[in-house]
Amino acid sequence: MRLSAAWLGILLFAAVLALAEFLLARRPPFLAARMILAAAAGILLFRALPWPRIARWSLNRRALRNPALYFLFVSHFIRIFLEEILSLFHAWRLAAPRRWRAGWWRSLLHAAASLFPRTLRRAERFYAALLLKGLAQ
Amino acid sequence: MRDAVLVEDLEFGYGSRAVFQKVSFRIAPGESAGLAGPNGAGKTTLLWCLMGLLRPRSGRIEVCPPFGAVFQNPEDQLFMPSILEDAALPLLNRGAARPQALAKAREALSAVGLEHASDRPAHSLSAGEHKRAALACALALEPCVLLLDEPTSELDPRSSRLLATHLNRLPCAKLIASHDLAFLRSAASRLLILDEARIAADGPADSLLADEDLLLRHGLK
Repeated sequence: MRLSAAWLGILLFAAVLALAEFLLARRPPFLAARMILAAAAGILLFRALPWPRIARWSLNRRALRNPALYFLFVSHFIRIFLEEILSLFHAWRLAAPRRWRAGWWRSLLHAAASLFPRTLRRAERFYAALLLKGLAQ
Repeated sequence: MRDAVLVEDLEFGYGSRAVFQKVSFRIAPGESAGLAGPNGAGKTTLLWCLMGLLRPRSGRIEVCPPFGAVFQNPEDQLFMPSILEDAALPLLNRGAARPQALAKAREALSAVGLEHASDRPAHSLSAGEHKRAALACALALEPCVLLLDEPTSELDPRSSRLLATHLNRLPCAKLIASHDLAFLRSAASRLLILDEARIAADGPADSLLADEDLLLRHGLK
């Protein structure tokens, strides 16, 4: 249930990206496709592999430190994204419990739209943290 | 003596809305100042300007380096496989050798009572532990100034008291933005009240916090 809710959010997010890419850039939705692929690969990878152990091992090796940091950032952002989707989905289910009734679709649409500012706010905080740690410019 | 924080005629706004105008204050080395104000007064914005994350419209900001910062929601400050790695990361990034960086990170975690959790990832910690872990990350840098945004939000009274005790032991200057007046009374010797885009009051924390009229006027009671 948790994973399907998360995927619902990812697909909605990707659909809006695809629409924006098509309307604004007049091109096929490569960005949205890349996002779905990265999320799928990331989730599968982080679930299938003992990621924390691999990250620790890699961080101790000079040559692997930067790639390990990159994957840590990706995994953190995926966690942020999933957390936001799940909390939004729970809030929406509590607010609109009568499936298919009036307002159900509209509330789903508004909930999905609010995912963008919420995720951006979290991403902004994460980026600010990277700046403060001297890891971004 | 050079100030730990110097703010002169600072102005910041979003579009046509001014968040603050002509804000000026100084914080001396080792001084602990509280920053209070109603919701939307611009406390977080002011801290983000001091951290260099937002660019003010005009004015002068000097913050003695290195400085440490703890966000209101520190879970996004902690992303490494363990909080020990999180605390060591800024040191490693500044070129410290790994053993020294890890030793300083352990010392900082032990200063906030988290030495037992040093190998745990941040997402397995409680909200109070998150705050303390983020504080340890800031302390590992041996900062000249600590900037704390709502450090007691999500903390129970005992954790708040513990945090105040930890903060009072630190020799660095501190600027603590909070709504929690009891916490500010125990952790800050001076209080700045930010309201209506300006510093509405600046003085000893005890006397300002005893002034009921002032607190009521600025939405703090």
